[in-house]
Order: sequence, then C-alpha cells, then structure tokens
Amino acid sequence: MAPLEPWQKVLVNWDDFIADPHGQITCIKCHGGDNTSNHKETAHSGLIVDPSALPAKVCDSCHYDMAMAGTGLHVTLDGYWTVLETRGASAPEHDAKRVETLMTLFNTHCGSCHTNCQDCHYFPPNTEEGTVLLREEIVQEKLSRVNHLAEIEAMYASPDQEAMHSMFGNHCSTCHASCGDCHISQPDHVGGGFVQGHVVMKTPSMSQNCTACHGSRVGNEYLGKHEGVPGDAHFRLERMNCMGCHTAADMHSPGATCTQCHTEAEGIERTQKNHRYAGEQTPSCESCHPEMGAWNDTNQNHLLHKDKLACQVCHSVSYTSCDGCHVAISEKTGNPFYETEGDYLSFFIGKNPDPNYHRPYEYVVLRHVPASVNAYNFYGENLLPAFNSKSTWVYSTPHNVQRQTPQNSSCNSCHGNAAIFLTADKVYPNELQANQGVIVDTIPSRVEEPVLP
Amino acid sequence: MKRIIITLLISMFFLTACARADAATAIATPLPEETPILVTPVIEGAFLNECKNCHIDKQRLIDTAMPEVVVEKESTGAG
Repeated sequence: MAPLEPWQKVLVNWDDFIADPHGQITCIKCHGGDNTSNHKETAHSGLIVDPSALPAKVCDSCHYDMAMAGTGLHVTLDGYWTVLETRGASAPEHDAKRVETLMTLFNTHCGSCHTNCQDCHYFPPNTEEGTVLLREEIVQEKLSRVNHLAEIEAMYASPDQEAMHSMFGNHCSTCHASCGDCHISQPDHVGGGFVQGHVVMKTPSMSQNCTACHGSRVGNEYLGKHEGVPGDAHFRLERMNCMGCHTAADMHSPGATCTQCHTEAEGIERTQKNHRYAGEQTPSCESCHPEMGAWNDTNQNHLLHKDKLACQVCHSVSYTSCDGCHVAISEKTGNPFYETEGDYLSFFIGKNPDPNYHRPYEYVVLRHVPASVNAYNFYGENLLPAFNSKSTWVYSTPHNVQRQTPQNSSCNSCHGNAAIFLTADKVYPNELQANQGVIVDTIPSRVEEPVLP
Repeated sequence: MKRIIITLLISMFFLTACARADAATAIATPLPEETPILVTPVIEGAFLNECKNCHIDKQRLIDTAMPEVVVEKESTGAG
C-alpha cells in the first residue's frame, strides 16, 4: 500500500462529506480548534486529531447503540493483557479492571483466611486487658494454604508493573484502533490519512483498514500472497472481503455475557472481551455452513470428526509463524521498534490449548507466536516470570481455507502422518515446558481407508 | 304594573339569547392561505468555516504542509 502524500491525508471531499449526516456537524464540534482563523497554527490550536479515540470519544454520543464498541478488543486491547498477565506480567495498577482483579484475588485468597480477628486470636476472659493468645494450629493451617510472599508480589509488583506499562504504551498500544481508524482514516502505523476524503465509511476498506493492520499473517494468507500457497477459497472463488464473515455486530460487540444465554452451572465463564478466542466463535464456519456436521450432512468425515477437530485442521494449509520478538527504544532515533528473529510457513496440528464450551476440539492448528521470555528485557529483567504458563504454539485460525488440502486427501494423509503434528522434536528445547499442553505425544494411528463406491 | 314590565323585559332578554344564530355568523371567516416558508438550515459556523476553506484546497494544503520527516524503519521481521 503506497503511502499517501501529506496533502492527500487531510484533503476533504466536501461534496460527499456534506451529503452525509456527519457533514452537518461543524468541524470544531468534534475536532476543537478555531474555525474562524485562516492561519494554520491558530486554527489548529487545541486541535483533537482523532476525536473518536478515547478519552475524547465523540461517536458514542450519537451511536449509543454502538457504545459497546468502546469495550471491543480493537479498542481495549485486552487480549494483550490477558496473555501478558498469564505469562506473569502485571497490568497497570490504576487500571480499573486490574483493581477488580486484585480485589477478586483478595477475596478468593486473602479474604478466605482473614475473615475476623477471632479466627486466629483468642482473647481470654478475665485476664489483663490486651492479652491475646494465638490459635497456633489454625494459623498454621491457614498459612499452609498460600505462599504469602508470592501472592503479595503478584498483587503489587510495582516495579515490573511500571516497566510493563511503558513497554505496552510504546509497542503494544500502537495496535489500538479508534472508530476513525476503521471508518475514516487509515491506521496511524501505515501513515494515516483519510480513506475517502473524511467521508465516514459505513464499511471499512479491506485493504486500507483491515489488512493495513492484519496484513502480515491474515492478509497475506487470505489473498494468497505466499508463493505456492493458494489464497482462501472464500476470496479466490467468491471474492468475499473481510466483512463477508466479520459482521459489524461482531466487530462492535465484545460478545454477550455468557449468562445471557447460559446458566453458570454449564461452566461457561469466559467472554470474548478478554481474548479473541474466548467466548462465542464470531464468526464460526457453521454461521454460513450450518449443514456441516449436522444430522443431514452427507460427508462422513464431518460427522466423524465434528467437535474433535477444528475446521481448519482439515481445511487450512501452510500459514505464517514467527519467532523471537524483542522490543526496544532506538538509541539512534528514540523511536520504539521491534525485531523478530524469523518468520516461516508451517502447518502443525496440536492439542487444543484451551478447550472450552465454544471450542471443544481436541485438535486444532497451532501457530508459533514470537513470544520470548526475554522479549521485554529492554524494560526490565524477568518481566514475564510465568512465561511457561502459556504455550508459544497457540490456537490459530489461518485465513487460507481450502476445500481440498493435502491432509484431507485421504484418511492416512493425516492419520499416522507425524510430519503434520506438533511433536516434541519440533519444539525449541527452551519452550518445551510452555508447550507441554499442546504437544502431541501419540499420533493418531493409521486407519483402513474406506472403499469408495 | 312596573313589576310586570320588568318581568317581561327580563323574559325577552333570555328568549333572545336562546334564538337561533344567524347562519352567516356561524361560518368562520376563511383565513388567508398560508404560504410555506422555506427555511434553510443554518449550520453553526457554516459561513465562516476556515477549516473547510483550507481542507478542500489542495494547493493550500500543499503550501502549508509541514515537511514530512522520513522516519527510518527500524523494526524488522513480520509484525
């Protein structure tokens, strides 16, 4: 995507803009500044470049039905914090959700022991005032439940927290998307600039918005930009764009709370607000292909493997994995940058790292993410103390779906074919611990091929 | 006698009040036909919008653009 000229980035298509309801709102209503001055500096005094970004977000005042967009993953980036915290990092302490997490932790752990003074202390009657005896056996029992130092460190972790907050602000947060980043302008990290002369686009541009961010993996896979690997059938055959599957409702909602449809007894705890692969699959393949695996499906393979294999196990092909990302601030320019040690195409089937109600599969395809135990060492030592708590081969949904793939050409193209399974020998030795939950120890054995009529 | 005259006068007054009204007075006088007034919506600042004047003028944007600093790409690998 060629960068826009500076003037192109801010040239307004007035006729089209004024024809839109947004054109009936004065410029300064959203952007501030001074619309009576014809001097750039004065006119731009107090200018809000992106009024749709938090905290100045203006869109919700009219689009209250889309207000939930403010809690979607594109805005909150909560998926990053979910992963970072799983690996032992600490979110900012002033973050309301962090406080909530701490309080939950306190209530679950500290509060379960420290209920009242009399639990551990005995105030004998008829003794001198202030005489307190310790109920030793009770105290010891309570102490045995928890490692206090580790708990306290996990709760406060102030120095790490500050370092992680800096790291997050310099690097991860560049992926934050405001309303305008999808509906008015290109994202900042590709240079910004209006897509259609400040016309507010109901549907974002696939190339200038969606794949501007989701390009190196999703975009390249979907469009077939890897040599020898076909693009996604939905694109090749139907020319479907991103919105063909990812509807506005999915983009703007973090997912309904589970209890709107389910009872807690069903054990459904996670909603999509914490991670893109939590909560309901939006979209799921069955959203458009409801017959797959249904009672009237004539494909025996669907019936046999339903709920055991994610659809991509049979229907995706090689996709991009990356290794060893490190972030830092450039000594030369003072700008944040990242380095990855390499990227490559691979296809590996592994164990589902997080089977849940909406993704019950035993086997899924796994992508290696460039997580590294020392990825943030520029900001501080040991910022991911629980690095091995999360696999580096992660649940993946490659966007290169094919009807026919090498692994579904026959039963034994997959069964007994160790080359396509993530076995221990394919995992870096220093990541074996982290990936023990997804490594396939026993390859599904070969089966007798059915005789086709 | 005087009392009879007063009674008659009062009776006449009430009977007059009950009399049928003149048909002509029951018809409302037609009002002059209303002519719709075209109201042009006035947008705040629309007549003095330097934002628009500049941001629709390609040459002015070129003339006033800050020289773009070419930022050296320091990141490497797939992002």
